[in-house]
Amino acid sequence: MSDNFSKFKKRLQAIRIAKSVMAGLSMGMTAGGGVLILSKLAVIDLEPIASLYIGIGALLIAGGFFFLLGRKTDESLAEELDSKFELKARVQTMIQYSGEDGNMVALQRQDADSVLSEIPVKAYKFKRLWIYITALALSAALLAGGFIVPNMRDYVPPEEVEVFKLSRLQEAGLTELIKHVESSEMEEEFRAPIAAELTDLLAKLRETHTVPDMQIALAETMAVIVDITYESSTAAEMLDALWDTEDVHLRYLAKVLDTSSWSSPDWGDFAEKLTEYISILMGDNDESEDALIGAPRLKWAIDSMIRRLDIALDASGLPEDDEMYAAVDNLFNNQLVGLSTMVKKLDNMSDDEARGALVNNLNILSEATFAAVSLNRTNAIVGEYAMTRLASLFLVPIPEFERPEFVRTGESVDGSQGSAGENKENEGVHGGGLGTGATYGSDDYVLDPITGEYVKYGELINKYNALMLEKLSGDYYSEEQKEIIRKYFDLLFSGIEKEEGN
Amino acid sequence: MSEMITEINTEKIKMFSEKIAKIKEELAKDVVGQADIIDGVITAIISGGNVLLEGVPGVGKTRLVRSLGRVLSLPFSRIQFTPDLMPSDVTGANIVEKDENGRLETKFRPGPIFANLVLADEINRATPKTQSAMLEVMQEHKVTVGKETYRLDEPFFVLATENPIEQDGTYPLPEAQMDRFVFKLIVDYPSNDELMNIVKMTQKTMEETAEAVVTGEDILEMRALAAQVPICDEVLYYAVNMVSNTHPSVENCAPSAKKYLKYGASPRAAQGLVTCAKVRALMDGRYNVSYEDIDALAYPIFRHRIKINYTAINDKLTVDDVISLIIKETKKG
Repeated sequence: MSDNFSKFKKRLQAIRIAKSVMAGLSMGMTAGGGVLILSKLAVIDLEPIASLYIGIGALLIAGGFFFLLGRKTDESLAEELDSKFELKARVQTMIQYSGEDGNMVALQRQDADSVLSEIPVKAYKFKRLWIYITALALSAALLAGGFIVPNMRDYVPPEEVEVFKLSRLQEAGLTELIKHVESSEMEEEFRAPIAAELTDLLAKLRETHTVPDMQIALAETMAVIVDITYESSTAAEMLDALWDTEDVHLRYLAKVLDTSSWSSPDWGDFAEKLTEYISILMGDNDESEDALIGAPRLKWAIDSMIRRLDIALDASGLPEDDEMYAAVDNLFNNQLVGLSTMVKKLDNMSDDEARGALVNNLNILSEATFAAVSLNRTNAIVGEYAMTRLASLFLVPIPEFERPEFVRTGESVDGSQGSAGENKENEGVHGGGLGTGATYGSDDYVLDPITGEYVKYGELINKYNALMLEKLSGDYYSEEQKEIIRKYFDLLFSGIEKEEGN
Repeated sequence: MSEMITEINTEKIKMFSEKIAKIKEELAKDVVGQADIIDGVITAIISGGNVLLEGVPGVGKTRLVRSLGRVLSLPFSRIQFTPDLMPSDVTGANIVEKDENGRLETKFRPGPIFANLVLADEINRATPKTQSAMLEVMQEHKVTVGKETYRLDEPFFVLATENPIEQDGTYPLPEAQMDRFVFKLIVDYPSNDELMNIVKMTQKTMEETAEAVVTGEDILEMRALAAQVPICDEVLYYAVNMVSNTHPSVENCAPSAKKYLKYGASPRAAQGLVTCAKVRALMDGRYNVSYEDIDALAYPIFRHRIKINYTAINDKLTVDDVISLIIKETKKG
């Protein structure tokens, strides 16, 4: 092999290595820098360190590829030299005949070698070097950019908080609610704190600017209203205490005083139950042979009740000035007309006289008793109304709470579970409505919290419907919210339509 | 030829160029200008081929061949072809003669073809029969008369001329015969300066003054030398590809060939191209054939072997123009 040709071969090899290194570095830095930038900007789910491995991989692959690509055979190098330096196929011929002997071939070899020796090796240039340098520079810039770019992966954007601003509608609605509560029939000791709590809520909401804060404020207010409402509903404690005495007649009394089926104070229901209670106390329906009836029966019943009454009153945990406590206590212990006063005279009464005395006694005291249970019921209604109104004004859910209810409604006084039929009176017969709460028909009276009067449900629902339509005519509620509200009222009305259909 | 010089003397290789220079120098004494023609003729002689010269009368075609004979120390003859020239007028014939004893015997009287350098003047005026008589001579360097075959002395070289002016009464040479000429050279009209020199020179003497500088054996030696010149495969492929590209019927031929040619060059063109390229390289002081050698020789090699069509004529393209296009397209390919 000609020495001069070998020099060019070495030159070619050096250029090939340089190209491979530059190309490898360019690709490596491009890949590494690109991955680093994308990783830091959290565009791709890769740790920044992965850019190092990817960069090295790209460097090796690209470098290897260019090294292989730059491979030239002696023949191709010879052709390139002949073409580049216009050697008239001397080198190509020399390479092809390098293994042959002969004077002509030897002369040709000498000639080619001589011509090659006159060409400086550096004349064989690195073609398009500028492209490699430019690529190297750009890739280095990209990699540098990768280091400069801040790491957004750990960046946690501030949570977008929904803005809240108390609207005029909400403010007006809340103000109206406060007035309704203040003017309602709820007991003062409970009404005032609820009104105060609502007033505080109004002031707080005026200064609240985010939805989460609004929701917290409302939840706190509702919790207070729940507590107050719960505290105001003492009927359940009293009735539970009466039931727990296990005295049949006291249990019957608990059923008489049970208002869980009431959506509004129901004098008719109360009177009906009292009449039935009288029959029970007189033993009217007891057909057993040895059954006591009339005055003796009444005496036995009252004696039995009185013995357990104090226990019941103590067990209720209610203060003596509680209306339920006072009503039950009055029923038995009123010095003038209480059952304990009456029982002493029963030995000398006929059955009719005993019945008459009982009726008088119960009638006199039923007003107080009825008032007590009504008040309990009103307290519960006002509290629930306040929460419902808040929920609708601010579109928050009503917190679940266990309404203090006398839960033995379905039980039999002798301890067995009642049948579904016994509970029919408590279920409501009109259908429609939502949920599993009590339902009522259009002619049932309900408390209008706005006026504080008892009005027919049918009139009230129409009034509320008109209010609803007026409120929905604006843009305060979204279409989705409006649809939900309309559907709710449709369901309420569907109950009335069923009733009318029946 | 193969049994001749087999061992190449390095000195003789180096002296090749000197001899060529001497030949040219001597020829320049008798022939003014026409350097390309001289180069072509010398190349053809050394390669062992024949040359067809085309040019108007009086441009020195005969003088060139005559001078060449003197310089190469080779017997020269001139055959003026006319329509009534018979084949036997060229090759010779058997005649009946009385021997010294007075008995009649048949003797072969060689024709003018029996020389080393033959000028076949206005060959296209001869009849096809006479033209065909030249075929065997030019190709095989032998003459067959009757049952006897007479070999011609080497080196044997025919330089034929065609007169492009007087086309009436001419018989265009058939392709087979055209193919026997390795080169077709176009002798142009001399320039004014050249004409002045011609006139000055011939005013002194009309006789050729060139002297012999090489012999026939030298020519044969030079031929053997040139045959040894190496050609690499890439250049060989280039030459072969160029010949293929002249054929419009070949699938991947040059677009110009498809467009402008009726037919292309024969395999003899490839042989002539490579042989003459070797001579040219050696004449140029190189010891290998180059692409440039092939390009330069493409014109005299292809000129008489390809035929342009009416499209070329319409586009006012000459044969040389088409050859240029084919060379370009071969390089690109």
